[in-house]
Amino acid sequence: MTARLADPGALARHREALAAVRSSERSVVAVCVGTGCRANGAIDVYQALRAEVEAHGGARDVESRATGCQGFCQGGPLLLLFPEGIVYQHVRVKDVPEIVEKTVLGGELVERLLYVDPPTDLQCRREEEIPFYRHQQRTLLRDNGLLDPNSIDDYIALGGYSALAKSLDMGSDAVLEEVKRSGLRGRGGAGFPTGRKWEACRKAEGELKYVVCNADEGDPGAFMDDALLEGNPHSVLEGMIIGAFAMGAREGHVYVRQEYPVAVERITHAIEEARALGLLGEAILGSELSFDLRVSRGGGAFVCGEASAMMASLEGRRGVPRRRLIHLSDKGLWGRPTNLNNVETWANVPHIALKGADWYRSVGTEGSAGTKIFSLVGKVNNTGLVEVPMGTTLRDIVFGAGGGVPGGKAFKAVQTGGPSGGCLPADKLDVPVDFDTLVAEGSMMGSGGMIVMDEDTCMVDVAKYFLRFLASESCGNCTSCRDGLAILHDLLGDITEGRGTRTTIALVEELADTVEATSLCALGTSAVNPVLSTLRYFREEYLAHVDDKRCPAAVCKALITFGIDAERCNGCTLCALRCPQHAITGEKKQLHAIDQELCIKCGICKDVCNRDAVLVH
Amino acid sequence: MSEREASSEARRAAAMERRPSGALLDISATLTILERYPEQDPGELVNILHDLQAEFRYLPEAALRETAAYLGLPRAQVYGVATFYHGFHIEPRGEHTCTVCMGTACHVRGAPRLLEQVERDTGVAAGATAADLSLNVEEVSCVGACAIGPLVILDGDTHGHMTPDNLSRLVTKLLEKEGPE
Amino acid sequence: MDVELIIDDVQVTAPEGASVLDAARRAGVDIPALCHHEAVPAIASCRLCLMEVRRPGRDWVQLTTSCDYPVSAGLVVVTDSPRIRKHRAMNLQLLLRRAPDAPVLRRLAEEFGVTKPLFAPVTDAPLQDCILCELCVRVCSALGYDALAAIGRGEHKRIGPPFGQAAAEDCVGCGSCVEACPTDCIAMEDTATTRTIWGRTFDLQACERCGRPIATREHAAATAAATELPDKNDGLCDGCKRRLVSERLAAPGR
Repeated sequence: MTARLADPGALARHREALAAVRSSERSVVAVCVGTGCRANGAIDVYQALRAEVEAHGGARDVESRATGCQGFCQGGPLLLLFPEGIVYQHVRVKDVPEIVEKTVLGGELVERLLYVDPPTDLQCRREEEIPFYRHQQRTLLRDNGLLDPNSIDDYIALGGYSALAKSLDMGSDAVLEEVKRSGLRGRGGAGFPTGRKWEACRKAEGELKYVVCNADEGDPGAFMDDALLEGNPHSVLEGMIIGAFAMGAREGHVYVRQEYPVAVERITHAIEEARALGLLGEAILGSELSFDLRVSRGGGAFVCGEASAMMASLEGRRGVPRRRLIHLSDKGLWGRPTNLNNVETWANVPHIALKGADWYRSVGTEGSAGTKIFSLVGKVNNTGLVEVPMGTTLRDIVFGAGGGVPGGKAFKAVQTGGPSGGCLPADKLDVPVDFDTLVAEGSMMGSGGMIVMDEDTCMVDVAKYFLRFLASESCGNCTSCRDGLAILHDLLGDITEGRGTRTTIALVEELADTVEATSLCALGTSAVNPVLSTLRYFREEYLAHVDDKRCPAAVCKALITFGIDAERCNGCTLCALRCPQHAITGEKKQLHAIDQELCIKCGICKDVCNRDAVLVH
Repeated sequence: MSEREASSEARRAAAMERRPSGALLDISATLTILERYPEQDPGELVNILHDLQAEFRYLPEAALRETAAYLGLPRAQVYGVATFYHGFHIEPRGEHTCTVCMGTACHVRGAPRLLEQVERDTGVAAGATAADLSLNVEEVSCVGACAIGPLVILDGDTHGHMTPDNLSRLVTKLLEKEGPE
Repeated sequence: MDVELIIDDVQVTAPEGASVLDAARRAGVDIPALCHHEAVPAIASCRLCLMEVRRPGRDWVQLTTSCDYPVSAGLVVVTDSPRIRKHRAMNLQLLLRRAPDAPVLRRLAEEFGVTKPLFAPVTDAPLQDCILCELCVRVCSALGYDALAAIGRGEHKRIGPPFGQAAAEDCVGCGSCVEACPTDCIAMEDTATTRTIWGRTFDLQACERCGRPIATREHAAATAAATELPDKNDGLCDGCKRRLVSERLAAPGR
């Protein structure tokens, strides 16, 4: 049990001691147990690995490690072997004995587990060879594959907390200056300059100040904060400690949404470990900095991702936002100066403190420095987390790292910025992504969610989906948001169910205008972005729904019919057997038919047909 | 007996006195949870509600009353908070839970059909509990496993690449099993 | 410390800490607002009290609510403009949907040119005509009773006693919520001797002189407890107290 680290020297010595034990001769076999891989059975793979390695009696110095999300979710469960850097994908429990014997101990590859690049058919052995990773610059996510998130020693061995030591040495003024100069902008959605926010808190009057980590990550489809908290919690902690030092804060909260129980566990454990080593608490590393943290859970409300609503929640009240004429940096939590930043923002801080503002600015664009983690999901081949320099084009992200749209379907749109953002069509693919360019195109960066949509996605249905989500998440304070969003959802329901007219569209636009102009917080004001951006870029789709009562993407149930292709049907009766409404009739080996009166458009027949004989018009 | 133990005993006695008649609730369990937190600290309300819900599987009225008393908060505020957040349930819950992820990525991959299938099969709508308390059907917006969407979580086990057909079968099996602790 | 600002081209002086809405009203400019009461914190729920405001040294104008906007030196406020009217009209439409018959809403609708309802009225709300402004909740809390809660959120938010009680256990029957409610949607029934509100029936104390109801027993007791004075009503209603004082003043020997 390591004793409290009394000063930066003790930290450095501890790191050296760890390095001595962890010789570079050692093999590390890492299994990703991030959320996606875990849901895919990765824990069983990890247990099997441990058992197998033990069974081989440690013939060689081999360590099995369960690591956090590495972002290549499509290939999960993932297994990596270091120091070679070999990547195996879709690993099953039954593959483990072979992997240990052939690769770990024998130095040979199990070829069927290697990633094969579709266009070239080339086998990729290492991360750098896989296009998904080649198109990225993984500053923040890199260590996710290397360390055990439950081990502070792993973090320290990789250089962790040296940024804190350097910061304490530089002094709080210099640290603040560095963060300001770096141009770091908030990664939670608004993109506010972090250094300016920090300075405001530092200058605020009051002896007790707070720093808060916003880990509410409510945008559906976004999970980068989860990956950081689960996979490298100390990177976030270190950022917060440095921030507390720069701003003169003594206490902090990590507010984690309740839907992320593993993240809550990991950050709680990390805080305990940090405390034990004296990296949290009184006189951190022998300096004048005394700072400690608590973990608070959300109750299940997207609106609590809004800073003032989060503080209401932390104060034991309903998560209703308040107007911010007085900045939270002056009067925030409990009326005291409070600095709130997103998980990813905090994770950037140790890098800036260690390598400097000039280094940070060398990546990204003039207005948006650094890298950004995007969660690339939906109709895309390589679903997962992609970290790229700001200024990378949408095309590069979706078709480069993302590997394009599966099934040969046509790309239709990419939705950025979550429910507050907009949908961008194909002719915007060459937009270099940064905070300002996306806003100019009618969307926004948001927290980094990127949902890819193809020709089978109905954009009216997408707009309706977001309105439903936001209406259910409205805190209910403002008439405009609470009732306006509910009505907008109903109006879009009219359109998707064939009751809409041109007047409906006009009313949607008029009402959306007022919701945007008169709602108190960003949930309300930005809630209209999905519907307005789809009206802007996909108006013809709306018009098809209202003028022709037709859904071009064949999604809106009221406007489509299911039928059976006479050329393809072989009368296997599978669809008839599975139809929940018993709406399909037909003799064996005879053409089957769907009774339109009974059909509820559930799509099961289309799913089960082996001959692609079910058509949707 | 220490001062702390004495005040805890007194608290329990008072709570038992004011417990609504007929309530089967274990007041002792509630107070054990409350006493993990400092008295009169409203900031811990949401954390406390999580712990209470983990204990009772929902938030019984008596537990909420004791929480208000312990924290020195109006009952109206505690109830208002408990009903504001969708993670908390003030009605008794079913034995099994089927959660359909309705995040954007899952939506785009057909999640609404899964919800419809469950409702068709069980008669339980999203957000509701079966009348016989056998099943809760929930929707949630994004659990962070978008690569394997659309997905459902059945009694804590995640199943990816779900289809309505498969879901039907899995829900039937689920209801035949013993519920989680 | 007083603050100088400009409202509709007129210089106005207001005490520090006042809202623009209050400052405007005191200066004779009527900005409509339904969810506002000087004695309780503003939550800016109804979204009718819109104004356009420019802060000193800035060149952009913000459309925003005035009830929760503190006055500050040099603010330039406009209380009427096409933009304000347009959005006020739409928010009135949304409010009318919840409270189609409320007199104050009908008056405002007429004043701001809302002639035809755009949306079908809500008929299945737990409390008909409630616009969810939480004035009742805020007033009840300010008085120290906390008998009412804001329950749920979004479209399904509702007001009522906690725990879904049929009878509000912390209510003292003072009727302040009824007075505060802008749409008169809270039912309170008084007889000569009883008051029924929020599912409870209270005994009304009657004036010893004239027999009219003064206050519920619970309200009187709560007020006495709060002020640490004996029952300050002395068994008389306000009218009779005044008459008693007049009689004593007019009595011979004075």
